[in-house]
Amino acid sequence: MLFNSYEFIFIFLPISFFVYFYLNKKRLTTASKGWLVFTSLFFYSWWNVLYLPLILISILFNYIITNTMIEYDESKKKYFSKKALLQIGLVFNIGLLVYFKYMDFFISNINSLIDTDMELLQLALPLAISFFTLQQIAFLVDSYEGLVKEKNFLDYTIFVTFFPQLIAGPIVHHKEMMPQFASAKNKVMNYKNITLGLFIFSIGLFKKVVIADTFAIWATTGFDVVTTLNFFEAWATSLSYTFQLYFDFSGYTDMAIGAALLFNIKLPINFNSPYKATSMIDFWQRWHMTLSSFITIYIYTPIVKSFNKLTLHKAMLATFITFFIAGLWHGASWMFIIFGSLHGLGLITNQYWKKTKIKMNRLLAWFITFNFVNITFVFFRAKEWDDAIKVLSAMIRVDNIYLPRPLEDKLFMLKDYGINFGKWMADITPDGGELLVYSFIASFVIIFLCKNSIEMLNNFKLNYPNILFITVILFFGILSLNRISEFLYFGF
Amino acid sequence: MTHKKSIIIIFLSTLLMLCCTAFFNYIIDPYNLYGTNFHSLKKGRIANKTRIMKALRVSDLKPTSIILGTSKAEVGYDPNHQYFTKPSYNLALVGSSIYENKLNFINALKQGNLQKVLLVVDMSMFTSPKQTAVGGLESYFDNPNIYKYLFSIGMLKDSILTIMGTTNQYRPYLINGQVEQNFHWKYILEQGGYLANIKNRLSIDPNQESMYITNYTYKNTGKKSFPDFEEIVRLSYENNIELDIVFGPSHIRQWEALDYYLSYEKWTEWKKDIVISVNNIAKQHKQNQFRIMDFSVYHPLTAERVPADKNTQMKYHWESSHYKNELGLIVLDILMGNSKYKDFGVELNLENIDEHIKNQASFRSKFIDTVQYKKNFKEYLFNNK
Repeated sequence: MLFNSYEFIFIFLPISFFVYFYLNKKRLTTASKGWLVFTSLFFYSWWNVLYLPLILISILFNYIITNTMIEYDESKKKYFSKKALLQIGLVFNIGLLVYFKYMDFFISNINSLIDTDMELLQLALPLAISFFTLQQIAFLVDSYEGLVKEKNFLDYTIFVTFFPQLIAGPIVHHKEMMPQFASAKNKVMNYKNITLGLFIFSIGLFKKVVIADTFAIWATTGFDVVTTLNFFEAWATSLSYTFQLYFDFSGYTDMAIGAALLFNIKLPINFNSPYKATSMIDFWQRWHMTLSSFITIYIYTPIVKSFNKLTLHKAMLATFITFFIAGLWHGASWMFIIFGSLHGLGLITNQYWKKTKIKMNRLLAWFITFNFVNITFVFFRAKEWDDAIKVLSAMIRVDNIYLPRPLEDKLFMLKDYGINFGKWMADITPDGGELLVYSFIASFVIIFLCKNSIEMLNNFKLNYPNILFITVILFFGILSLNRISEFLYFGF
Repeated sequence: MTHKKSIIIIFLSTLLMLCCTAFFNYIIDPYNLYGTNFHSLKKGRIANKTRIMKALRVSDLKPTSIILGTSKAEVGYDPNHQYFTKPSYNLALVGSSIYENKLNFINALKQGNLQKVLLVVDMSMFTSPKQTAVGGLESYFDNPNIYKYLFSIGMLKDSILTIMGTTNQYRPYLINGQVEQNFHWKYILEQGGYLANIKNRLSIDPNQESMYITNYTYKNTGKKSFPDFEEIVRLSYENNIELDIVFGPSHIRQWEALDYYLSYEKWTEWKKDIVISVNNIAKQHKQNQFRIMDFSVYHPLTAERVPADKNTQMKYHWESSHYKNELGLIVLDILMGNSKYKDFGVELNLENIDEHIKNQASFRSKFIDTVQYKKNFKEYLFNNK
């Protein structure tokens, strides 16, 4: 079920909400948790019920392993070690991910590498597998290190399946979630949280269905439909996707945070104005923050620890490996690997630059960072190498510049420099590019000059202008639900 | 103010605004879906929902004759012509695949009155990157929920623009499903006249390259397109429909573009594949082959001079691809056997197709200097080819 659907907003969410608090009011706390698990699994199964057994098996297996680790004592030492349990758990989780997500990628690469003809498995990617696997790996490692001691199966299942964060994060830690579910105060309907939840949910809905889905049209046309782009069309295509991705994913996260707030659960923030970043290190501290945190703790740190003596070069190697894996985590494609590797190299360059202690002009630093991100997102979006090259090569081809025809009378002298007039955006948008230009200006203003949604949430004041603001964006969000489209991160 | 009160205000005011919007959209009815006909407003925004509008219109009208095809047929053929039995309807759709045309054909067939179909085939229908131009198209034919559009921002915007009377760049439609002719002239003027228009976009457009694929497969689904065509032919035999298949009279420059991006020979192969396919199905049904007429031929009507002066109109063509109603009327007259243009259009069958292709190839060099054309109009051809 999509957050931006009629069935979620008008049926699923209200029913889940009222029944949950009704059960809590009747002091049926176990039933209320059971209800949350049931609704979350229903939410998950809405796309395809065939996915359900997989997530249930994954939860059950991880629960058994972690519970065995938690109850591990001297008497069991002679049968198996705690580390062996961890290894079994890791092999299971990574194996599941590899089998469903990467097997065809490996097979097709082997086929083309050594000219074999192995058949592809052609398995449908189970929804959210990357997210729930990651979350459970974190729990597994935390259990091994004795940081968590969750023995209640229902609580563990809520931790994994809680529907606001199940499909595309934010990736949560057990220790930040379970105390909230256990708190008696949170079992009572809280009108302040409902207002705040509505506020942030409405912003997220607006970001997704009004802004991101508008940019999606131009990005999709530029990447998937047209075969040749001129200079401005190529820039419009890449920037459209850069904006689409941000508004789509941060919009999803806002909706997740808002939906969870209705249940008095505070999810961690995932975005902090990433396009304002002035370096790659800064960018990854602001973009998909829960993923950054996960890969730092569970990938980068173990790699660094495995080195005998840590040097800067070794730390950089660890950074590259980490981002290579992070790129691959996004999807089974060389494009994601290139994306991750480029970001790894960007971070390494950033680290070495820091060592030089040369201070860069802030605006220039932002300009370089933003353009680097924009260019690497071309690989993130492109289905194939040729699609990426189509866009990137047109972005640097200055012999293929077209300007709007209305400017011809005023700027005719530019014709001498090979600048043409006419179809400057004709292949991306049929309306002459007006809406596209206004959308870029508006988005630049929103992204660079306005407070982000989390800052707005933290500074929320209950007054009529804010109520009007919520009403208007909720109204436009609901009116835009007809343009149903999936969130980009659902595919990862 | 309390949080509880604020929540109530938010919900009630949002609900009220949504209800007002739905009521407003229903009254204005910018896509002609509800038949409210408020103040007889001109529905200049129908192009935004052409597909569902046409599907609903067919259900209401239950036509005996329909036109199928892409935008070329949508622009160029008048269903009021006496060639068609009445009621008749232009069911061609801009950018449609042969699959979409099949769905529309089946829907028209289900209405119970269909007798005659003019199918104007276009190679792009068979090589369309998308099997359907819009998602959920299949649901349009089975009691579609037309009221869901009442709560949409697109409809609200189009309702407002309908009141304002704007049709900017959107294709206005006649009640019979054909596109209003003067719309194209306005568009061509905006583009700087015929020559500039051809140069800019519609003659040799590199982004039409994806349309020139010869494996008859929809790129987005990987499904084959020819079976959809064959189903139209088969169902026509099974339901005693009089089917005429026509290759439309686009301007000869179009075939040079096609030659540049694909090859002239591949295009003629496609024509032959159509003839073979129809012939095979005719044999299976032990009936005569449906009439197939080729108007994509070298003839003064398709080789009309393109005026350099931006304010001069062509008589028969809008640009290389789309042709005017005037040329469509000539085609329909010929199909009725009632035209002075005896030398225009060739009826194709299995016996003459090879000879016809050979003849046309020889006419090609007489009508257009293909080498010089590509050289002189190199700027039309995208330079990174």
